[in-house]
Amino acid sequence: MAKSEGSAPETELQENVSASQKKSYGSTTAVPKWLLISTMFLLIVRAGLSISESISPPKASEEIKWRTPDTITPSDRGSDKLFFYEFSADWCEPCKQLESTALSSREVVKFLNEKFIPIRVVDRKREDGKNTPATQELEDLFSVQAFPTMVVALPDGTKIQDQLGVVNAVGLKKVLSEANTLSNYFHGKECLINAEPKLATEYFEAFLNQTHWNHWRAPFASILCALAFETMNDQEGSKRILEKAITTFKDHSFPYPIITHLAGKISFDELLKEAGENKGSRLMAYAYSGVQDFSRGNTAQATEKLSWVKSNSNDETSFEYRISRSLLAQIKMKKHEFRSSAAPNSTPPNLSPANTAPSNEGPAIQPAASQSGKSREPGNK
Amino acid sequence: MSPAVYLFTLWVKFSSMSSVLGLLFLAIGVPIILSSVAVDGKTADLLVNLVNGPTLAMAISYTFMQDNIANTRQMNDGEYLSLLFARPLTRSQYIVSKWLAGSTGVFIIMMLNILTFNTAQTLQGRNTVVDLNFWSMSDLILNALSYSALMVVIRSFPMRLGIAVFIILVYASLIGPALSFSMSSYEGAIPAVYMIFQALVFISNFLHHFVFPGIDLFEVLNTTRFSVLPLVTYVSNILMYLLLGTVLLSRREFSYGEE
Repeated sequence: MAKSEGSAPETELQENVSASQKKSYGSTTAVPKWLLISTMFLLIVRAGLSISESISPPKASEEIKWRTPDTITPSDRGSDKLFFYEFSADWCEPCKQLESTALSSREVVKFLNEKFIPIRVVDRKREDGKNTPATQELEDLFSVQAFPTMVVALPDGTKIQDQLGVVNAVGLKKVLSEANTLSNYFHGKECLINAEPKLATEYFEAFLNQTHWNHWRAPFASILCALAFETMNDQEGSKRILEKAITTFKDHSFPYPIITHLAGKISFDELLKEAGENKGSRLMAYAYSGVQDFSRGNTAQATEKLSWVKSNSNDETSFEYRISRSLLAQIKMKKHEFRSSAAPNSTPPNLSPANTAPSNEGPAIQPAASQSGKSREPGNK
Repeated sequence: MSPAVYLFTLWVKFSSMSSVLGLLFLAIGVPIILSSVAVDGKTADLLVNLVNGPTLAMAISYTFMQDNIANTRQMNDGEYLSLLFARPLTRSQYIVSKWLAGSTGVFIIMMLNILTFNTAQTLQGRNTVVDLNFWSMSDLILNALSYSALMVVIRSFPMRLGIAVFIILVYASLIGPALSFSMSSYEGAIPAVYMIFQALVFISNFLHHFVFPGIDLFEVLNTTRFSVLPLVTYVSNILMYLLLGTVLLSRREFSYGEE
């Protein structure tokens, strides 16, 4: 009875609640109109834009000044700029994606145009059956197997960095910046071989500062930098670099023992013990210790160590082999000059790098000798 | 959005020991493992792509959304779901609340993930490989929003279908880097192998264009060929996922008598 009495107001209440709910919420399971309409609208716009951009892609406001392999001139080879190669093919879909994303980034475009010589190498094997000789030569040089492949190299073809496949703009910028930093290390090595130790120290110090001494090549750079200082008879500079290296590097595996040896903390025998049977480590130990001996005028010891490197190295393009060969040639030349100067009416020897080293070996380090003029500046010091 | 659902979702996730352990593994364990194997710059970059790429973002979103969307079992929000829908809360409000809660959680976990990876790299004397700047933070927030929206839909599917879809997406995200280049020659390859490769490329490209909702804001805004298409794609993907999530949830019945 009570139930039936209360049923009328309850029904009325339910109707009121239901009406107010409907007014403020509508059905709780209904899909909101704004969501439906905005989604449909954006999907239609998206489809329209996709079609329109596939027919007529957006125009670039600024473009990379691409060169082709056939248009590289000798002056490009002599320039300070690094070469940026992009290997691609017309049929390669990821290459098109790279072109429309990372290679269209304003920062990447600006950086490439300012600091690099950008060279686009388009493979035509699939279309024409073969590539032009210049294209094929570059693909063989950098062992390109897939597209897109990006390579940063010194003008002489020494590869510094490479990147396979599509990368985003931030990633590509990072690859390019690292290559730019790394180029200081490679330039420094070349300067050391080419008897430009002052310039070499600048390159190595630029590399060390840019990487905050925190790069796997930093221990090598510190060793070479110290040796370049020694070559100029700047013992203070060498000591400063070696002491900083000793306190900075926490990893005491090879080549760290070379640093302690050059700083006079361990003997050469102890260094060889640290190198163990690893041939690469032994080659480095003999070569770098030999360079230090040469710089300090210990010709007999230098000859012994550098000869060991020359006869035991299988890679004639390695830095250790090249520096050993150059210094041995110089030692030989000096001995010859000494004999000549002992003879009556002999002419004074000309110790300029170009004259001391045999033509096929390039100039060598001059211990505390005159330095050749500056030809380049370390990048981003 | 319903603040109650939003806060309850976060509370449920961060108060359950098992889910906290799972999330901590993704946030701290995975980057420590990755950092310990990143012996050189190249490996580190590859691993960073994994950390920054869609796979980990999806894994975190998926884990975070676990038992979170319309869970009818007697655990987590399953206990209150029937009661919840007896109230004047629309399904779309519920979906949007879950999406925002998921995005918040994913952002926190991804942030922890990157901080742990960077700290581990620094402690090992290596350079940090993920720079935390305006662009990376923006991407982190935007991708947390978009991947959470995707996971809202996947978690709204019946369980087996949801798992199947998730596995396909993980496959596509993992195979993506392998398909980011084309071999210069397929000479000597078995034609069937080449055809399979082409099919994989097609599927992966389709998924990347139409399903993966990530965005690279730096690339989109700093391009010399500006287009609104990536922005439209990003927003339309999120709206589409929220719409699908609402539709899927609206078709389900909830009542006290269900159990």
